[in-house]
Amino acid sequence: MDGLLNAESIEDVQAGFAPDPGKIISLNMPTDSCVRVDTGVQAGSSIVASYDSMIAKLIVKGKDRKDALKNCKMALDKVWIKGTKTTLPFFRMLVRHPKFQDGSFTTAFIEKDLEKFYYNSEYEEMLAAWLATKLFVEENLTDESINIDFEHGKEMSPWLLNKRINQF
Amino acid sequence: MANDKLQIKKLHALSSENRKFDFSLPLKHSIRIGKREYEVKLKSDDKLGTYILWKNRKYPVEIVRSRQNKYEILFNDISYTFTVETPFSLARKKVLDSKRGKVEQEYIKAPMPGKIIDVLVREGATVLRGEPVLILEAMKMQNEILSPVNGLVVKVSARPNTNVMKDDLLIEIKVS
Repeated sequence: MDGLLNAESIEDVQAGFAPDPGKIISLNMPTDSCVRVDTGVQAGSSIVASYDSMIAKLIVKGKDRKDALKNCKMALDKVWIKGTKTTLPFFRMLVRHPKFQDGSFTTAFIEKDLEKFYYNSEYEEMLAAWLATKLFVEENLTDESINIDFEHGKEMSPWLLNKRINQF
Repeated sequence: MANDKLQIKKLHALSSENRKFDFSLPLKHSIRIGKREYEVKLKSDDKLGTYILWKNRKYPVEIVRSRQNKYEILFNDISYTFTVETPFSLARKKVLDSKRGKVEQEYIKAPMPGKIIDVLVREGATVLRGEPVLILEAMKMQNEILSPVNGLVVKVSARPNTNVMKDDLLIEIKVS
């Protein structure tokens, strides 16, 4: 048996681990038997700036270190916290790092060995870009009346024109 | 005549790191990887909220902010900011960007809500990039806020022992 511990806290890993206080809109935790979840928050909980930023701990078990790591990856993907940014992307990166996997890391690991503090798979940014584009299409191009001629600027509606002007 | 109208055939999503993602219109609900198209579904339910389903995996998504053509999206707990441009607005943006010089004034804003413990610079002082300019306490931690540029402090709005909200203007620096 081997165990691994993760502490989820509401910090923005893309902003140098700055705390990101806010309200938790929804919270889903893994329910697998190899995972123990210690948490004091639930959907609707507010996390204020004057208190600690740690919101949950995951204790993940496995037959050996390799198995525990595999379970950890699975468990981290099952944690869904909406409403605030968390250290989840950091842990997702950590469990995939070779030095963390073979256990050869030291206390200088974070400063020395990490180039990036979060994990995203190859296509996640592309999917996010697709979503932004979809939102743009829905907001600007779906209604026939405002599907105007950008290329010639002929039938620019006042509403959309105003929108474009405010952009600069 | 509606049929004669030149339709927008493409949209470009530009990331904050200037990576460009091109999508042809009408927007397909799939993303091509190599030779295969993989269906993308935007879904929502009571338990999980809004999510994207792609290659049998669910990714949580949140729209953090949207203003005009700028979208901040939280995708699987990582935030991405895109501006969506039409071929026309993209061409115009390029012209505008080339005319616009470098940033002259730097505004240091509070990265998180908290309390100002100390202000380390005065108006008229010169600062170097990476030099601490004030100390902000949040979540029982004291954080040094560093100057992102070399320059001259022109205005200090932050006062010690006051509380600030996220994005409150703290210090203005004229870039030198």
